Amino acid sequence: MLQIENLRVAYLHDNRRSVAVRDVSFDVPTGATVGLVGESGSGKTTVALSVMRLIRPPIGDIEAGSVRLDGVDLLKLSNKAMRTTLHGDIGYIPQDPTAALDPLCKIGRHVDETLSPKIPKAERRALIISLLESLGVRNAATRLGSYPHEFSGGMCQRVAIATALARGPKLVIADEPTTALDVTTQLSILRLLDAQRRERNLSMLFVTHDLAVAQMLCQYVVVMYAGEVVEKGPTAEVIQRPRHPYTRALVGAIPQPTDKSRARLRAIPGQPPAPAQDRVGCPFAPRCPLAADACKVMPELKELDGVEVACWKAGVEEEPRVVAETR
Amino acid sequence: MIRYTLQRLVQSLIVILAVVTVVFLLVRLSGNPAQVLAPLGATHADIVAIGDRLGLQHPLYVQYLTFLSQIVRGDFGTSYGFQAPVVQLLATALPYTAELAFVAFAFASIVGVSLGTISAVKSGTWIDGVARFIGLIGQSVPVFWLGIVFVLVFAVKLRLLPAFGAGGPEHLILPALALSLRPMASITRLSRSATLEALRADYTLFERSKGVKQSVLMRHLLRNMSLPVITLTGIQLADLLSGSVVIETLFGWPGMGLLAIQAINLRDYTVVQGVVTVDTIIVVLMNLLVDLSYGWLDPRVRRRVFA
Amino acid sequence: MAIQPQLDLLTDSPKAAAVPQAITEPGRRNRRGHSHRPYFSGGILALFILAGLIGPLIAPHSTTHVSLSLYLRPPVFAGGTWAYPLGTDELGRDVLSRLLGGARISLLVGLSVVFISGAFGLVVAMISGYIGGRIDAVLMRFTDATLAFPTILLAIVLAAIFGASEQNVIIILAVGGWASYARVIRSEVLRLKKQDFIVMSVVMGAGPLWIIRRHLIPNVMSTLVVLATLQLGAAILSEGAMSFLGIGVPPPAPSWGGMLAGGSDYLTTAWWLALFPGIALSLTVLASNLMGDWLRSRSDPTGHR
Repeated sequence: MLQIENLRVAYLHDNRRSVAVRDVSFDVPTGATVGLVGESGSGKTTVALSVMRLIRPPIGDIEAGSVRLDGVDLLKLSNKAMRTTLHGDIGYIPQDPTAALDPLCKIGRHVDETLSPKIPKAERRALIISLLESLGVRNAATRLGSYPHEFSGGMCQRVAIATALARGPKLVIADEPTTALDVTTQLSILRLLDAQRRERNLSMLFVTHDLAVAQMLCQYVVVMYAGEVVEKGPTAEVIQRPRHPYTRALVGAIPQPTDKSRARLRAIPGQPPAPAQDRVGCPFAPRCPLAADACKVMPELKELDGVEVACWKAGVEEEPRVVAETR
Repeated sequence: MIRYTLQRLVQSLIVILAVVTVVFLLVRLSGNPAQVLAPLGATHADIVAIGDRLGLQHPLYVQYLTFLSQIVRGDFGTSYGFQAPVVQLLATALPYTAELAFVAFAFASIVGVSLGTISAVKSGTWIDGVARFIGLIGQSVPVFWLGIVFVLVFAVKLRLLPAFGAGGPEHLILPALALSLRPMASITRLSRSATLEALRADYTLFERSKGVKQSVLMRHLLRNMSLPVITLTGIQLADLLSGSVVIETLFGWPGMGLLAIQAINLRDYTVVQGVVTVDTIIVVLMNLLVDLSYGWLDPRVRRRVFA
Repeated sequence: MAIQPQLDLLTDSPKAAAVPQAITEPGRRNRRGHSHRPYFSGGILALFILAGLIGPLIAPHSTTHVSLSLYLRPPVFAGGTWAYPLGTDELGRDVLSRLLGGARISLLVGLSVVFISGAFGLVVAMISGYIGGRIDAVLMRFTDATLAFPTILLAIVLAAIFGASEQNVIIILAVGGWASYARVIRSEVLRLKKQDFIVMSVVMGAGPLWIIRRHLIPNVMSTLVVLATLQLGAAILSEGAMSFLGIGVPPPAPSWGGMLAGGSDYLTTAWWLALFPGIALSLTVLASNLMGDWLRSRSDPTGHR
């Protein structure tokens, strides 16, 4: 369905380039949700925006790779064809819905813009109202004329989701869609997204920094660190038996309701490396408890029981015990 | 909405009253106006007679109240320098200034907004260079010098356009062009940075992700960038009025500015007072209009202050 | 136009419109456009200040001495002589000497206006920003009214009543010029007030005057310098406009604006009379605007990203 191969993206600062995403490859199968997990600055949002070709000069540049949607390489499309694809096939759910909705534009219009003008006006209106109602916006008919600032964050996100779904997309890209919302709203939005995926058989690329959220929603996860994929595979596999030390640390950071020891959440010591032009070795090595001489060379992704890991120490078994001890 | 409008209206009236009062006091306290008005060689009796005609024998507050009530009735007194009622002079001059300012401002807005927007969208290209050049030159070159250069080139050398006075539309071109440069510069600069701001905003990314047509994207962009541009219309209007005094003097354009300068040379306070009062009322009312229209254009402000 | 001093700092940034924060949120223009060192504007400004300081000492002729026999001599490159390199005016006065004398007037007026209105604006900003509340609301209304009021009206009134003089020009421009300082610096103060080091000082019992002197004033200094540089150009431009109208520095003092006004009567016969003061005025103002933009881009912390 969506196949990303060897994607490399750089941001442009004056005359310097800093590579934010390097050699990223993964697939999003039809009807499944893939979680793109990593801390801020890991390049996960950049990947998501690159799929829609929203990273472009003067901000940044997609340097290499391919992004295929149903076999068509989006990076090779003309601007016009790309617009048509965005308009028809891809829906985007932003991180902060209150900032993403043009403050001067009425709610109804936001959704309406994604519908074909060939559909009669009354029909479009009915469509928008039923869509908003199905997404939990009550009295949608009376609220089409409202402005975004009159809506709460959760309501704005429902409008943004309606905007993404109105065009009947094949793929939905959600960029931390619940981060800016209240905790109570977060869950309902996540449920809503999952229900819509099932109902419409959508493929979904779900960007999040929260492995717990990915666990709830995603069939597959792709873990990114410093612009590179360090581990990817079926969610249950990855979370139950994390093979990469970074993933392990992330899993350790999920609060466990069953954990009665009242242990503190574990933080990962150190800072991720700054984006740079060239890099040798594993980017996680400086923070890694298992780092060894081998880590001075960048490890390739290799398969290990259905999960792909980029780590020289991926087979080392005693690590989960170490994590358990430190708790 | 009505409450906010009324509140702003009252504030505007206070500003007008304050300016009128200050001008009145300055004129009355600066010396004996009758002395100034009297022709050379006038006797003391002559001066007292002139003073009585002006109402100077009454105490200051009586003079002030009389003055206010006259203004409210639209009576600005009689000009001794021009031998005519001041209202009549103002009524003749005002349309000229309005015409000049309107044409200059319309031209400046059209060019400034388009140039600023295009230069932001095409950041780094030659048109961006042009916009930045205009933005810089427009705030550095004095309009009176620019006017002189225009006269020299278009009127004296090329003999294309008249350099002096009012008449057909061709008389308007040079003064309006010279007057428009400065507001054009600031509108260009502001439009440019407002557009850059809008281009970087989250909502633009979201609109792009929808795959909407360029024209739709442009509409979002233009609406958002227009807000800060409109906010500063009030300040620009003050700028424009200042500029028109210089331009009118330079081109002999018979508007309010030229009238005021001529009145100064004739030491005719009543006319100066009238011009300043009317100009103040115009500026204050225009600012009120801008404020209210801003409330209408920005739904966030509208609901907050108009509720 | 010219008489409204120093508004462009406010008009350059869209943020300035709603919440004036021109200093902290400039357009990208400054970030990219003026990163190079300002040799051109620095050079012109240095030349201008030098001319203002010692110009009258090195001027070849008197600025006011009338000798009708020498009237309207062309500049040396247009058939004139080296005795009068930039020609003479309608009263036979040396144009170069008058230009140098004009630099002194422009410098004097410009600096006086900058100091007076800067000091007053700073005081208003501190009171308004630090105390806040009612006082802030009233002061800011007053500031807005001043910003929207055409200074030229004031100039006309004062000139009509007291006559034109250099002093009056300075007073008028300062009265019209403080408001932009007050607006911009006040928003700086509001921003600073929320920062930890000031909050800490307050918690530790520092008095308002101490905080203003030790924390606020040093922190708004760079903003103040940017505003002052931009206002210098605007004030010089306004002085020129007023002198041009005959309500500024009265003749025979060699103000650039006055020289332009005199020269505009001789456009067809003696173009140099209007040309040279115009160039001097434009270059000086341009240099001060460029310098202000450059300083602003440097003082902007986001400019180093």
